[in-house]
Amino acid sequence: MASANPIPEETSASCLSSQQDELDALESIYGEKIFARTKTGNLLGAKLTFSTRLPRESVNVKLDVPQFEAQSFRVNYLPPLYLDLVFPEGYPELEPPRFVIHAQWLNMFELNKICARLDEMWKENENMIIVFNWVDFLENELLNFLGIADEIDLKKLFFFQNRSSHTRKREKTSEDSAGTSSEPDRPRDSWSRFDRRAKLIPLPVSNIVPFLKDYNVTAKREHFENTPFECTICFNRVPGKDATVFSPCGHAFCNDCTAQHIRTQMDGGLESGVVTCMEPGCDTEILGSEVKRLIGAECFERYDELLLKRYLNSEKDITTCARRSCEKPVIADPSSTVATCAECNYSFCTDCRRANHGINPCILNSEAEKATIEQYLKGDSTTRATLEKKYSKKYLKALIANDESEKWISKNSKKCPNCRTDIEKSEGCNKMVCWKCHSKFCYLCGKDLDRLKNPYDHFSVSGSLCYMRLFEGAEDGDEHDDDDGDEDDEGAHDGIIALVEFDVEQFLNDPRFRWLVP
Amino acid sequence: MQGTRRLQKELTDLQQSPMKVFRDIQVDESNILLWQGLIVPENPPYNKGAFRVEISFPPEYPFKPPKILFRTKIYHPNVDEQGRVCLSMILPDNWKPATRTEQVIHALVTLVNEPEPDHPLRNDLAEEYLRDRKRFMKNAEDFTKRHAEKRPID
Repeated sequence: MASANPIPEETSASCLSSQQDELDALESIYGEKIFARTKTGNLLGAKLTFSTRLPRESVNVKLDVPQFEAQSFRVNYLPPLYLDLVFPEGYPELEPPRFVIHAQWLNMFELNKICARLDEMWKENENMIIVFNWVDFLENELLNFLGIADEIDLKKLFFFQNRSSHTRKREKTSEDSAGTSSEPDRPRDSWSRFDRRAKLIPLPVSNIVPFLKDYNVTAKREHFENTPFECTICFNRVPGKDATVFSPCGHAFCNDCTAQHIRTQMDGGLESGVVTCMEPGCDTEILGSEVKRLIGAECFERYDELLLKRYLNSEKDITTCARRSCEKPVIADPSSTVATCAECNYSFCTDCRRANHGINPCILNSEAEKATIEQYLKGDSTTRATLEKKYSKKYLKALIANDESEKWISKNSKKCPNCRTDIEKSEGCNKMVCWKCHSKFCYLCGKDLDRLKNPYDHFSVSGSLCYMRLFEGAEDGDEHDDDDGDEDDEGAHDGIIALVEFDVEQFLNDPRFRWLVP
Repeated sequence: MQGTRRLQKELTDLQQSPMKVFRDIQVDESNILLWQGLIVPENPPYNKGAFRVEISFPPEYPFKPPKILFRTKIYHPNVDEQGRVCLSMILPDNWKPATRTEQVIHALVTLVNEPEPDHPLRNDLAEEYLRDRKRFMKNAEDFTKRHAEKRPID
C-alpha cells in the first residue's frame, strides 16, 4: 500500500509527529519496565512486554496428552505478552502499525484470533492512534475474549510446539515478520491459514510446565518484594523485600519486628526453645540462617549457645563442666556424683560443682566446716589467730561467705527435684517451673509434678498432700500496680523463679563483719 | 516506641467498631499502656452485672504479653481473689506477638462466660462448679448482684 502510492510529504510529517506524540505518551504511561522504543530503518516503533489480568486471583493450567503424565496446577501469574510494533510512514492517517505478538502460553489458534481482533479494533478507530487501545485490550480483556474463565489447556499448544521446528524453518526464508505482514505469496499448507504476525516461541513441551511454574514462583516473589504489606506486629507498611517470611507457613513480618522478637526471646534465655513464628497458633520455627541475617553473626553465636545450653539442661545425663572458663558439655553418670570433662580433664562433683572430693562429703554440707566457722565467729582473738594460722584467713573468709549464702538459699529457695538447682519463688502459685531444666514441681513439698498429666492435680485432687494449697504462702502482692513492666513481667500464675546468688561483696561490706576484711 | 504506635492503632480500631461484650474502654491519655474496660457477659450467672477489668501492657509490647486484672470482684473459678486471671493465650510461654488485644479480650470474655474448672485459680469454686452446679450458679449470681457493676442500658 505504502510502496504503491508515495505518501505526500505533508501527511508523512504530520504522521511522524503523531507517532512521536504517541510514543511519548506510551512511555510515560507504561514506564521502562513495559515499554521500549525501537527503530527499524527509518521507521519508529516500540516493544511492549506486559502481563494480562487473570479473571480471578489464580487460574488453573492443564496439560493432558498421552506422551506425558497429566498435569494440573494453579498459577497467579502468567508469563508476559510481547507486542512488537513498527510504525509505517502513513500511520496513523493512512495505515495501521505493523505488529508481531507472542506469548509462551498462547497457541496459534488463540494468537490468530487476537490478530484478527486487533485488526478489527483498528478498523473501528481508523486513522486514530491505536496502540494504547490494543495494549489496554490485551492487558485487561484478553482471557475473557479467548473464553478462558478458569483453565488454560495446553493441549493445543503442545500440538503446535511439536511442530514448531517446522515453523522456524519456514520463517528463516521470510524477512522480518513485522515488516512483511502483507506479503501475499507464502507457500500454502496447513500453516498458511495462520496469521504470520502471530509468533509461536519454540519451547520444548517438556519445559512448558516447569517454565510456567517457575515463572509463577518468581513473579509471586517479585510481586511480594515490591508491594508494601502491613506488618501485623508494628502495623507499619513496609515493602516485601524488608520482610522475613516464615516457611512453610508463609507468615511474613517486617525484619525489624522479627529481629526484636528474636532479641526478646534471647533476653529470656530462649526458654521456649527455637524462636517460632509470631502468628497466633503457628509454631513454624525460624531458620538459623534467618536469625543470622537478622541479628548478625555475633549475636547469632550467642543464640546458638543459648539453644545448646537449653538442650543440655533438659538432658538429665548431661551437665556442663564446672570450670567457669570451660563450661563444655560433660556426660554425667546418673549413678555417680563425679563427672570428668573430656575437654579440659577437670574432674568435679556434680552436686556441689567443686573439684572431685572423693568420698568426703560436699564441703558446704560438712559439719566440721560449720563447727569451724562457728568457732571462728564466736571465738576470741587468740582462737581466731590460731584458726587463721591453721586454715589461712582467706580460706575462712570464703568459708563464711559460702555458709551465709547456703543459709540464705536454703531458707529462701527450694531445690528442683530433677536438677537440684535452687529455685526461689518470688510470686505466684506453688506450681513451679524450674528455669533450668523446665521440670514442674510443687514448691511446698518438692514433689516432681512432671509425671502428672495435669500438674495442678497435685493441688486440686483431694487426698493429695498439697490439696487446696496452690496459693498457700502467695503474697497478696499489689504487683498489678506495676505497669512499668520491670523484669518480673511473667504471668503471675506460672510462678516466677529466680536463682539467688549470695553477694560476697555485700557481706564483706556489712559493718558486723568489717573486721574480717584484711 | 513502636509498641505505643501499635496500641494507639488497636485502640482506635476497637473504638471504631465497638464490641457488645466489652465496652467503655478508657485509656489515660498520659499512659497508653494501661487500659480499662467493662466486660458485659452474656451467660448466666454473670449476665446480671458487668465487670471492670484492667489490661496493662509492658513497654516491650507486643513482644511481651499484656496482663489482665479484674477490678470488680467476681465469683469465678478462673479468677482469684486479687483479680488475677489465668488466660493461657497471654502466658509468656504461649504469647504470640501478632495476637491483637481484641483477640485477647474475646478469649477473656469467653472464659468468663464458660469457666474452665480444669485449670482453676480458685479450687473451692472449681470444686463447687463441678460438684454442685446449682449451688455455684446461685452463689455466683448473688455475688454478681452484690459486687458487680450495673450493665449499660441499650
